Amino acid sequence: MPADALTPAGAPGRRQRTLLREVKLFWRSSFGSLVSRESLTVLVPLLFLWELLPRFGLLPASLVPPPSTLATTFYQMLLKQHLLAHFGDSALRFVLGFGLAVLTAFPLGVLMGWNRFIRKHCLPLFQILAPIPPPAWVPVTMIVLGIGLPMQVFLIFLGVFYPVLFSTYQGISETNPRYIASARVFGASEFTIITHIHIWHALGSVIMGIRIGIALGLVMLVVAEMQSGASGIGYLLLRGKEYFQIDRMVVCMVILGGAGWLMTEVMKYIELKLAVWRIER
Amino acid sequence: MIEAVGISKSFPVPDGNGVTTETAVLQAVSLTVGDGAFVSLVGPTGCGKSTFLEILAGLQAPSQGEVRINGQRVLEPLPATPDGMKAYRKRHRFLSPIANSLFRDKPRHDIAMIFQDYAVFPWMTARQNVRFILGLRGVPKGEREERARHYLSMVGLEEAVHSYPSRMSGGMRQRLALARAFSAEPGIILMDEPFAAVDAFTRERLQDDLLRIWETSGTTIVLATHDVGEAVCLSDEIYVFSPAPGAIRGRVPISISRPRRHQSTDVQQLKEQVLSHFSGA
Repeated sequence: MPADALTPAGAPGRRQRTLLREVKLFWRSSFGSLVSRESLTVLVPLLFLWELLPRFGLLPASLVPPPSTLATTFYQMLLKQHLLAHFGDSALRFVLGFGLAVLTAFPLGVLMGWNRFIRKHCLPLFQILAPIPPPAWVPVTMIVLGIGLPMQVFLIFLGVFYPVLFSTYQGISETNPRYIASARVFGASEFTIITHIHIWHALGSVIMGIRIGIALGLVMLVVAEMQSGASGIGYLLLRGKEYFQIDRMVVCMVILGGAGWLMTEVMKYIELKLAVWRIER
Repeated sequence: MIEAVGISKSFPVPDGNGVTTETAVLQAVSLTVGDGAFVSLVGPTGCGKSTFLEILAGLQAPSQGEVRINGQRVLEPLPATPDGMKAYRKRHRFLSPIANSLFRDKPRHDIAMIFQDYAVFPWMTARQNVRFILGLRGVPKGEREERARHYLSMVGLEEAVHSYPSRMSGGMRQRLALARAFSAEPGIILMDEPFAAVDAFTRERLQDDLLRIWETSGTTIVLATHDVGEAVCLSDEIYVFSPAPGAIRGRVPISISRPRRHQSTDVQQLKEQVLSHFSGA
C-alpha cells in the first residue's frame, strides 16, 4: 500500500467514497431484482390490481385492504399502538435467539466437521433431536421456562440452531482433502487448517444454513409471540384477528416479510463480499 | 536424503456384498534418493506411485516398512496383528496419526508437495497463497512479501500476483503451485503427476522452468509420472514401477547432459530402455 494513501487528509474522503460504493453495491444486489424492467410483467400489475379491485368495489375492501389503506393503518399503528416498541421487542428476541444459535451451532458444526471422534459422539444426539418440528417444543418450553423472554429466545434458538449446525458440519466435512493434505505437508497446525481452509471452503454452505435459519427463526418468533407475551409483532398480529382488523394483520405480515427479506439480502451481501474469489471469474 | 525400506501398502476394499478383501497397492518398494537428486517414478496410472509419495510425505502410514527422511522416521507402520491394530486405533482415536500439532505451525519434515490438481487455495490470491505457506514455515513477517514476489516472478507470475486461482489457466495454477513449493525452500519436493492436467505446449515450458529453478535451488525432487519422455528429459534416475500392486521393476540412471531434447536419439534410446522394463515381464 502506498504511504500517501494513509495520510489523515486523504482519509475521510476515501472512507466516504468506500462507504458510498458499498451502499451502492448492496443496493444493486438487494433491490436490483425488485426494481427492474422484468417486474413490470407480474409484480407491478398485481400491485395495481390489489389497489384498484377493492377501490372499485370488485372485492370487499374489509377483506382485501388495498396498499393505500395499509399505509394509513401503518401510520395509525405507529401513533396509537406503539408499533415501534413492539417491533423493538420482537427484534430483541430475534437477535438474542439468533445470535445464541449461531454462536453455538457454528463452532459445534466446525468441530464436528473437523474431527471424526467429536462427530461420532455428538451427531446421534442431534440426529434424534433435529427432526422434531420446532413448534412442537412450545408446550414443554412454556411449562419449563415459563412465559417470557427466556422461552421466546429458546424457541427462536431452536429454529435457527439445526440448519446452521448441519450446513456448517456438512460444508466443513466436505472440504477437498487435497487442500488439507497440502497444508498439512507444509506444516499447518490443525487450528490453522480449520481457520484458513475448512472455514473458507464451507463458507457458502454456512451462509446458506444461516439463511434457512433466518427463515425458521422468524417462524418461531411468530409462534412464540402468538403463544405468549403481551408485545411483539406476532402478538399484534393475533390481536388484529380478535378485532377482525385485517388491515392491521396485513401490516404485521408485511413487516415480518420485509424483515426476513432484508436479513436474507444482508447475508447475500456478506457472501458477496467474503467470496470474491468464487464470483470473480 | 530419503530412505524407503520395504514399503508395502494394502487397503481393505469392500466388494459390495459385505466382504472386504485386502488389496495390495505397493509391494516391498525400497529406494534411496540422495540430496539434490532429481528422481522420477514411472509407471502406469494406478500403480501406487501417488500412494508411495503420500507415504513419503507422511500423509499415509505404510502397512510395512519405514521411511526415513534425513535419518528421521516419518510415520510408524501400521501394526500387523489385529490386537496391535486395536491398540493403534485406540491411541489415535481423537487425532489421526497424520494430524499435525493442534496449535503450532511447524513442518514435521523438510518436505513440500505438489499435486496434479494444483491444490492451490482458491480463496487466496497468488501472493496470499505463497505468503500463507511462508507463514507456516516460520518465515518472519517482514521477509514474506519480498520472498513471495521473488518466487512468483521466478515462475513468471509477476503479472498475476493479485489474481485468484479461479481466474488463472491450468498452467498458471501449476506455476503458482511451483512457486509455493519452492518458496518454502524445502530440502525435498514431492511431485505427483504435476503436469498431467496441462496441455502439451504448457507442459514443455513448465518442465523447462522446473529444471531451471531446480538447478539454482539444489532441492531434491521426487517426481511421479506416467509420461516416460518427461521422466527421461528431467531426471537423473528413473525407477520403473510395475502395474498394481506397485513394485520396482528396474532402475535406469541417466547421465546425458541437460538440456535434453525430446526428439534426440539419446532420449529415444533411454525411453525404449525404460519401456523395455514393462514389456519384459
